[in-house]
Amino acid sequence: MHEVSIAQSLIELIRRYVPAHCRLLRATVRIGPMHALEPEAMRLAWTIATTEVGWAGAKLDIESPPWRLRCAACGRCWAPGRVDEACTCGCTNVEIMGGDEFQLDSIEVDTPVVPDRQKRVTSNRTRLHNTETGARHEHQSSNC
Amino acid sequence: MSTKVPIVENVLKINDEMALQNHQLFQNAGVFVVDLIGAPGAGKTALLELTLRRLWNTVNIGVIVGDPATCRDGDRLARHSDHIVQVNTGSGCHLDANQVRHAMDKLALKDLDILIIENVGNLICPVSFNLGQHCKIGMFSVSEGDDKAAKHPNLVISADLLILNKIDLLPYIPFDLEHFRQDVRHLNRTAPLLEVSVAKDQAAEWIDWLTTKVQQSNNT
Repeated sequence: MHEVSIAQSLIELIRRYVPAHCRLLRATVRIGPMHALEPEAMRLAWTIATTEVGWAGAKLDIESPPWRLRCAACGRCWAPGRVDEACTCGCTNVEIMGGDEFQLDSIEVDTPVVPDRQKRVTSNRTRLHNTETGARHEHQSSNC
Repeated sequence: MSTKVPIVENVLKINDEMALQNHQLFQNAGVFVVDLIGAPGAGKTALLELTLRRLWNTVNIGVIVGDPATCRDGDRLARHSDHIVQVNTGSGCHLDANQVRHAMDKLALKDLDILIIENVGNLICPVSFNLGQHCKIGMFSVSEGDDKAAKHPNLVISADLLILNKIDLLPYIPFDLEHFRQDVRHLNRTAPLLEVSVAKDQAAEWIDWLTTKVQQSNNT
């Protein structure tokens, strides 16, 4: 059940890329059969992991590229059903060209929202603006 | 409104970053490190007991041993070496680079020539997690059946060395050795396949492989 660890690692990585005050909506990963990931187990692990960090409802798109082999004898390239498939020429000396993908391709985030704490700060600044200077208020607004 | 952010990074990038740091620490300490992966009961701990017995007076060997629970394997190995760290992973089915880092902190790496990381008994999950090792070893045994290499291609493909243990059981268990060899060769043409019987103390090829690797490592 390494899906749980992988989902947690994925979330940790995604946190580096989600801008402040944004929320993750979707992540797209490309995972080849080499990593023996079970998509349904991965989605369950993802649901738990995203909920824990406040991104409940974020979608996970899993692209599953197939194994890709190349025959050492005739050079034929193909996507086999099984990685230990022999070439149609009879040769069993095949090179594994693909299937080990393990990549976070992209994420989708919503537009920034102002968190409550900052709203309160802004609100205080607005009051300051009313009684003091306008520059300060403008500066705070640009942060939002 | 939403924004798409292209990334293109390895899913386990954070683990890989930690593994790279581990590897650097291993290099600095001059210690050769292997990650030993096999099913529960394949004979991983027994192989390490044999290794520690054979090499105790020629090289300094440390072991980080991962298990979901108990210190039983750690206790077994501690009879042969002072450099043993047991890691309990709870429900975790593999060791990751961070767990190895914490375990490394309990070892005097500079005193070691070899560090063997005995991963949690599992043929799937440990394969994806780089620990910073120099070599990855996949271990099978006759009692598991002759189809296990074919059923776990990710381990066979990524291994630098493959070991088949318990060959003394071949006369008693339906195990097509030639079929097993073909499966292994089909998936990995470069990694040596060592056929050993730890119970019968027949593992000379393994000891040769390990000592040769350490010598090569010292020379570079």
